[in-house]
Amino acid sequence: MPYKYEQPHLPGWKDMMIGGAIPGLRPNQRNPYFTGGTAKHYRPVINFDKCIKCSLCWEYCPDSVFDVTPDGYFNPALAYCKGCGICAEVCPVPDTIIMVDEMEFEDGYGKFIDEYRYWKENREAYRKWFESLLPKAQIISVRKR
Amino acid sequence: MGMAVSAIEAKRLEAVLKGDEEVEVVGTGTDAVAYALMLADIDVTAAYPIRPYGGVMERTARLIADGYLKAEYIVAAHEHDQFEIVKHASAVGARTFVGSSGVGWLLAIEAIVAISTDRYPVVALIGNRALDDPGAYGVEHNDALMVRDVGWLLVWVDTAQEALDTTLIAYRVAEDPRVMLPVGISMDGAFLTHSEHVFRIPPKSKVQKFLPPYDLGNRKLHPSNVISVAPQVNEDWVTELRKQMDEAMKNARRVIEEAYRDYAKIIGRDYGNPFVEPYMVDDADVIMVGMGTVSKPIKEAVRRLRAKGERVGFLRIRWFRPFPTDDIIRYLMGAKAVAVVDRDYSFGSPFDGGALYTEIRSALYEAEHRPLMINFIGGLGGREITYNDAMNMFNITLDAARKGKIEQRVIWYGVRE
Repeated sequence: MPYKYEQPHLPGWKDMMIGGAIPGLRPNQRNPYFTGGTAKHYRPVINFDKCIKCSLCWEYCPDSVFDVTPDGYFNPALAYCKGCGICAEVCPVPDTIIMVDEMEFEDGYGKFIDEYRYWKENREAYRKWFESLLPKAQIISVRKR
Repeated sequence: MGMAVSAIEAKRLEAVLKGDEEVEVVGTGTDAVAYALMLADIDVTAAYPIRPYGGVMERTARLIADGYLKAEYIVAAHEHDQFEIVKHASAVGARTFVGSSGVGWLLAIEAIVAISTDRYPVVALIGNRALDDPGAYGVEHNDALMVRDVGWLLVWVDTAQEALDTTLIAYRVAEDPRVMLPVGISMDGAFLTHSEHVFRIPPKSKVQKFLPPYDLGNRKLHPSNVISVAPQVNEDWVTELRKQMDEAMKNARRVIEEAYRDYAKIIGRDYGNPFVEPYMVDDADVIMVGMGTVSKPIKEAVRRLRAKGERVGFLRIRWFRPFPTDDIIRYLMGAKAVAVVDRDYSFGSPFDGGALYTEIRSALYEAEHRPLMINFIGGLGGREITYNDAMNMFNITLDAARKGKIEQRVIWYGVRE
């Protein structure tokens, strides 16, 4: 996949505040100092063609991973996603959010694409890619695999 | 001033708080620590009773009640609570004191580890006590040694005077920006916590020159300095944070030396080598090593054996963390035989010996000359080590030095068969 998030910068021990304290975060602000997304086993992939913009994934995500796009979709910032699968569990539309094993991705474990941007720029390629992942999914919205 | 303090004591406390001269008093080891807290002007202490550390709670409460110390005295629900309270108080910029003994200290272990990993310069008194079960109030060093690997500086004191001086030095070292780690001051239960000594209290005016105010800098939790302490960082950060602590602990060696030097200069009491107390070791063929109040009978034995022409000495270890490896090598390398007295035991350790013995063996591994080493496990559960015991231990070690070999590596001294 061509669109990659920039890898988070991990500071050295001399750069860190003593004891690992960090500047305070605003309410709902994700922690830029510790993204945590490298720890996940399953990655959510969104079928934006079927999304009804209900906002349940955005509301339920325990790590506030979903960013609202200008046209009202919800794009996961995968660097922060821990792979819990709650978004796929609460999504009310069949085959719209799926959880896929990280090892299935050619972009490699721990590297993250921008799903929404990929979909906007090439819907046909994105649809084919999504369909190739669907049989491998561990959790599929509405129906359990 | 209130009624609780005697007229004589009141006069002396007024003198050290307002004058420029030190005064002499009689008190226990824990009293001496409480007077140091008064001089260090601590802000918060959290108390929960357990013997033998408890005397410091009582004396501190009295000093606050009678107006000699202005500090928040929080009675905790249990030891874990105690250490959590001082951790949080330290985070908002309060100079804190806490303490416990034996299993009480261990009940707080989660908070104890968080204090060092969050890098708060809390000073704690550990009135050394055997770990239950079976129940025992007496001294054993295994309680303090439980935290030897988690970033606490650990020091053992021998007299009430040393307890007072070391408490002031502990704040100075712990709060140094190059260190920012907690200090545990170990004091032998009963033998020092409860025994009366004559000691001198330095004037507060001089202590203020020695001990600058506690300054957390940009880490102070305050509405005007919005930071988050102890965030979840997992494998991405933990290695780096441990490394940061490692550097701080290594820095502590230099900072300890500076603190003792300044203490001698400003307060006027010079301990010489801060890390160890060498006693007639320079030309000694046989050297005993120990921590805490075991020094008294051993020093007496050294004096009497020296009078008979035996070249013996004693090395008392003060600072256990950071470990004084260079001094251990320097003082012990020239000896024919070394005997380490452990008031603790490490079950299943490399040579089935005490913790101090095992560490000293490790320190001597790269020495040019390695002396014979014997380990005496003694004084467990508060059993007394007498002058006669020290003489017996010396005789066993002198015998090994003469023969050039040891018959038994670890000796459970006085164990009933």
